[in-house]
Amino acid sequence: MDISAAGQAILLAALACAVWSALSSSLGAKTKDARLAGSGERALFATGFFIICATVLLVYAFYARDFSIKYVHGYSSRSTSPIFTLTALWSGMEGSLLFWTLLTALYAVTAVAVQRKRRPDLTPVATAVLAGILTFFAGVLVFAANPFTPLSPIPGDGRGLNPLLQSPFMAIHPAMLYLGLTGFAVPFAFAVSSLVTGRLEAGWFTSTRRWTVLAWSFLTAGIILGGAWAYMELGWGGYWAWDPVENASLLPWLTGTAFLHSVMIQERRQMLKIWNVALILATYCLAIFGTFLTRSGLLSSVHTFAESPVGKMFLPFLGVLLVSAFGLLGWRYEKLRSQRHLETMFSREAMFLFNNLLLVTIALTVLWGTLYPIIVEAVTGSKISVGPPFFNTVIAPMGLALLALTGIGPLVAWRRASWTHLKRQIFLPLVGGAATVVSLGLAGLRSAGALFGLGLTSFVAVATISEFARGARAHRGPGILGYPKGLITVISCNRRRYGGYIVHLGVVLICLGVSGTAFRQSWSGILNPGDAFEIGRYDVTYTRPRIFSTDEKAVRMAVMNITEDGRQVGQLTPQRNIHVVQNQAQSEIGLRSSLTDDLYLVLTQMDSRNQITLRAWVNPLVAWIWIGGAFMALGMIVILSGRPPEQRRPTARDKSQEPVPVPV
Amino acid sequence: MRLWPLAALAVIGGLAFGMVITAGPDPGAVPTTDEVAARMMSPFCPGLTLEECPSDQASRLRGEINQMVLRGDTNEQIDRWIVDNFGEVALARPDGTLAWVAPPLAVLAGLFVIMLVLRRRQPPGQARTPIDEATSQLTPEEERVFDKDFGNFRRGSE
Repeated sequence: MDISAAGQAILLAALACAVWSALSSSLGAKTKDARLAGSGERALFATGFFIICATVLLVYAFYARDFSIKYVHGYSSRSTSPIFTLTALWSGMEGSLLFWTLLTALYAVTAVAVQRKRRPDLTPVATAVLAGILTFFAGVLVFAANPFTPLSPIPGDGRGLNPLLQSPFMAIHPAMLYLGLTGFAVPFAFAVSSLVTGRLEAGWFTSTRRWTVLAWSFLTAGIILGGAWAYMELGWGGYWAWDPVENASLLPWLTGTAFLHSVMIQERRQMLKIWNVALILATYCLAIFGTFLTRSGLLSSVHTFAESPVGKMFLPFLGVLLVSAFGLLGWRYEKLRSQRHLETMFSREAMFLFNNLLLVTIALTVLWGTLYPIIVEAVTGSKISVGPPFFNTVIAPMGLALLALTGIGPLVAWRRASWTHLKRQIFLPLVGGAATVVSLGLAGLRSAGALFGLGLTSFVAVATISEFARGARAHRGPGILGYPKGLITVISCNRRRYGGYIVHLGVVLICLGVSGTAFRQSWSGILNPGDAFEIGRYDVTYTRPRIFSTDEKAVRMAVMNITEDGRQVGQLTPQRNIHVVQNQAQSEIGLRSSLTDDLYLVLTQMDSRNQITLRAWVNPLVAWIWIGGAFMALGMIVILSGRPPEQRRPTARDKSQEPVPVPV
Repeated sequence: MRLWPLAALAVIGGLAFGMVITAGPDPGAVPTTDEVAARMMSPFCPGLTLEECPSDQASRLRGEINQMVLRGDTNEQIDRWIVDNFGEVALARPDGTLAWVAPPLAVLAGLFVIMLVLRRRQPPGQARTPIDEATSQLTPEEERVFDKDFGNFRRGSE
């Protein structure tokens, strides 16, 4: 039996098991029959097993260079390196759908295996929902985007992988992104289950909170790595272009972030139950919406796969998800209504509400800007664009307000904050912000926007750092190491809270990096060997060309000599390469990165007389974006390293369920 | 009703903000090449502006725009040239006011909803029934339990 036939048979088996699991679990939940529910769980595990087998088989086909499979032929060749042979798995439509299905299946199997003992009341319906999702994806794989479709006659070599995708970032960015997007299936399934079963107490989200945080962490990492990929590989000097597909990945991130914040109000005050369920339902629907957008051919972007009927299949699926999820929410509306009320605008709860308002409005704005061209074309028939000028202008003020809340929010007490208390806490951050504005102003910075943004950034930085300082002081021990020990104690005793603050510090650093855009300098022109130009504090000289070939590509490299403030600091070698198999030209950038700025060179052309067309940028502070990303990752690890809520012994606070003033 | 004037003011402010940012560049001014490239979608790179697009053709197009700028063409003339040659789809700034005004209005609507909710739900101390009325709402059973417990407490503290 050849690989193609075996693969198709395995996918069919996965589909059959998923259908059985969905039916059996729903029936088991309805009739309260444990045997049926158990059978549904086992069928879900079997689905996972078959999807793993299918993936392993496809990966094997890639390494065996089995070009009788159309997908293997389309995305690899004999010269593709071992690591990119693996990443070719998610480089095309069919393979990426199989990868998506694999991750969903892994999440589903693990979640059900863990929760069936802890939450036997919620698990059968959640299993049915997860199996329903897997049924859809397995169905798409079997009927519309089969990665095992055979090719005849069998060609001698494959078409190879798109050179843009042959980057270490590209190897890991889609994997992270998919781990994030698919992970929201678990909280989605348990939220739906809590609606169906009417068990609407806080349980559903404490059971799935770690899954939500995990998914959100992967999504965050995926988005930042995507920015890094764009910056290092695409050669346009930037990291975020408000491209429709970038936007699509940002949407669930924004609603997911809103959820992670507002869920704290529900924990503390048993409020906003409807809102929280709606947010998590919307988050998964938006994740599916993103995959639909990428695969529908509806929008053009660097990310989209070729137009295919697969995209059209996502629309009814999305419709079913939306209608059933929000239909259930409407049905349970009365039961979810909160007994408690917000007391004042001036409380931690209200800060979270404003945070949610901004995050959700930013999400709506991104959605609006992304869909506006489609709406206009549908209504008037004319094609228009909504590009970076729109998003930057509209979202920047909301983003700044959100940043301000990141600083103020943690300073405001629950229920009802007191002015005197806040005044004491906000003094130092205000001084920090003002000092930044004054010193930058004296240093010659005149842009009001940049001054405001950087002042706000340092306000939030000081506010967040003083939270750590207060915690460390409260727990400090004797001696010179008292403070550091106190810091470690306070972080390890309260990992969610301080992990969250570390994430906030990461956000502050990313804002600092983004603010560098305001001071960007660019140069473009034509150079002959020996020519030089000046950009920022750098002098760049085109010393000589280097032309050579490898198995994969013909390389044209310009050797550029760099001096910084008159001091020789090294060479950069931007390249313009022709990839042989794909007959595709691609630029490799020359990058010199430091904490203050990046010198970024792109070779767009080198002619037969060795004359080059070069674009150069000095991008200030970009490195802080990646450092901020690392901080966010560290914060998320701290949060996830805490004990899951089910394993924690109930404290007096949990028992009383009464809000307790925040320790300061 | 001090909420309504505030809300009206906010809506007017939001609309004004929308109008200001919709207005875009001064039609009579001569822009720089970078300004034009930043507000034009590249016909050669899907999803990227002309400023960002790394292709050769984009380079040449930036050169052409540079010629127009040097010639002293205004924003209006250059934008018309872009639309004539590449269609309205090449303008990165959408022209319709609706596109720009919707997001600030959404923020205001959200704020308004939060304020309404806060107003409807008065803080407990102010809106609750007076104490004697509240005690009279206890059931006889509750009153009996309360008297017994309170009696125990009194005896304990003496």
